[in-house]
Amino acid sequence: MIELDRISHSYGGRRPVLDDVSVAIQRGSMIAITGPSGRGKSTLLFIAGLLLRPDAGEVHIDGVLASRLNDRQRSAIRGGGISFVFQDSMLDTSRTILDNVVEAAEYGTTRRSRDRARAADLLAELGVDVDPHRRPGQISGGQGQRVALCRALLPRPSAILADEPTGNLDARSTEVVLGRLRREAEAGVAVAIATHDERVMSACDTVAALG
Amino acid sequence: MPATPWPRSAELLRRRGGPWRVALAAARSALSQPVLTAIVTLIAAATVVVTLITAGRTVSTERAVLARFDTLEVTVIQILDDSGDAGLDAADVERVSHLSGVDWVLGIGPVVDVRTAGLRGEPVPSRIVVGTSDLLRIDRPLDGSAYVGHASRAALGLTAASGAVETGGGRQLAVVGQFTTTGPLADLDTSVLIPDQRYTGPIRRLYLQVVAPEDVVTIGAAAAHAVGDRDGNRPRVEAAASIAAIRAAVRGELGGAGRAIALQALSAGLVLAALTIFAGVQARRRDFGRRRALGATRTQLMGLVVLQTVLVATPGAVIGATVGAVAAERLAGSWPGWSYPSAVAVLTVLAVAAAAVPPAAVAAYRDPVAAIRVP
Repeated sequence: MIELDRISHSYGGRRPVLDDVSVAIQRGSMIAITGPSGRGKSTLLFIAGLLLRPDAGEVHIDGVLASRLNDRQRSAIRGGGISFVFQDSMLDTSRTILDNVVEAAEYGTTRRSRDRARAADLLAELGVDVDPHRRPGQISGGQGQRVALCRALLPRPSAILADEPTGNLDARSTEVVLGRLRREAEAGVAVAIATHDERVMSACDTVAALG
Repeated sequence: MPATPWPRSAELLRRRGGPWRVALAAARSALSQPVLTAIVTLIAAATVVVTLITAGRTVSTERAVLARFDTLEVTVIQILDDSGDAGLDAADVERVSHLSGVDWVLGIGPVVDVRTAGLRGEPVPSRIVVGTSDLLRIDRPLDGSAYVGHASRAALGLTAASGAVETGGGRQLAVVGQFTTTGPLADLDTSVLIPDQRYTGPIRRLYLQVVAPEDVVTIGAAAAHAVGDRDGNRPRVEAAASIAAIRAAVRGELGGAGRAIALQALSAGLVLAALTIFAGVQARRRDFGRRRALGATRTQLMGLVVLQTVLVATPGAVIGATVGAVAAERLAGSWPGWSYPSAVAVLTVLAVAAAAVPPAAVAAYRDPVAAIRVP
């Protein structure tokens, strides 16, 4: 479980985007982080994923005070335990679709030979029915987001933090992505989704509203 | 299916992939950025070429000038006792040979006239030689036998390096071969030489070769001290000290100039490479942010940038060394050899790698969230 305890954060000394916020991202469930734009939904995920240190408050991961870990330890947890899915998929356009999925293991803990086989399986499972050796620029946005989800799933994370993962997707792709995240949650993964999409909120077990 | 148990960070650190994964990522990055790769390769190649055709010419000139100095035998010291008053003897040859920095020592005994055995020809000087020298080559030396030079063979009327010579006292020596001399020993060609390593008698000339030209003055003084004086008479020590000093000065001046030029060329290459790599890092902000989100540490990102630079600079430096060596040969008229171009290539790769460190640090320590949010 990721526990965010009394988190406050601001960018460059401006008005805080998060002010004394506490959220628990439980294993085996999906939580929707919602709220108006600029109220810190993405910031909360970045802090939960140890990518950003909060100005105040603590992050506990399974009881460990993770917000005080050093960069190597925080990176190790991201590489092996926490996966991000971003709104615009953030794929490397210079690499193939398959290599983009496998990139998740470059800084992680899995074995390369197994990575590629698992990546191919995940692409097939999520319906990315294009040549995996094509570049991200040659596929649709929906397929790109599915590729990004495959990349997040490859290291078998304990938590998936998704920032507006369905923001640019059609109904069919949204259904595929949410369905797969639901399966992960049922398998015991902690899933948090920053969204203001009603369909996503209704698919989650709990909703945390910011601002 | 139960989720993977949440591993502790210490366990994750132990299980992380090795540096080869970063090296692989660096190779992939190099291939995926052909423009940056080409520019850095070109900078490395140009740096090596410019260094070789500027500083390299100075090095070639230095080598040529020093080679000319070395033909003057500046490293050979002569100790002369022509009258025999200083009492130089074979023990002095042994004594001087133990001085450190001395390559070889050769002692020449007093002249004894010889004639071709059985003929009433002109007398030819003969000398006993003790020790060895690179300037004296004797075919299969045999102690107590006589060897003739080109001039002495003609003077003795011998058609081949064989026969016998006899001293005024009637002692006969077999002529068993020929010798050749160069440098300061060239005048011995008119003599008959008799190698005898067990000789203990007087020595008239003593030649010693110093390994390093800069040691000529010091070793000359040490040799003079080693042979000492007998009854107030000192042998004459002749060392090309002034030439050796000029040689050292020329070497210092040309070497210093070459190093200064090389340093300027390398510095220019380093600055150009740093600016180019920094531009590349700026253009890849989202790329580095994504890698941080995927679990890359700051150290891995720095390693990625520096390794990528080394991977692309190395072929550039090799190409530059080859092109530069050929260009330097065309310009200077002599092949510079591979050691200097190789050293310049290695230095260039190290300089370009050093140039990559500040941009790599910028990439590694930039806020990953700000990088991810770049549109």
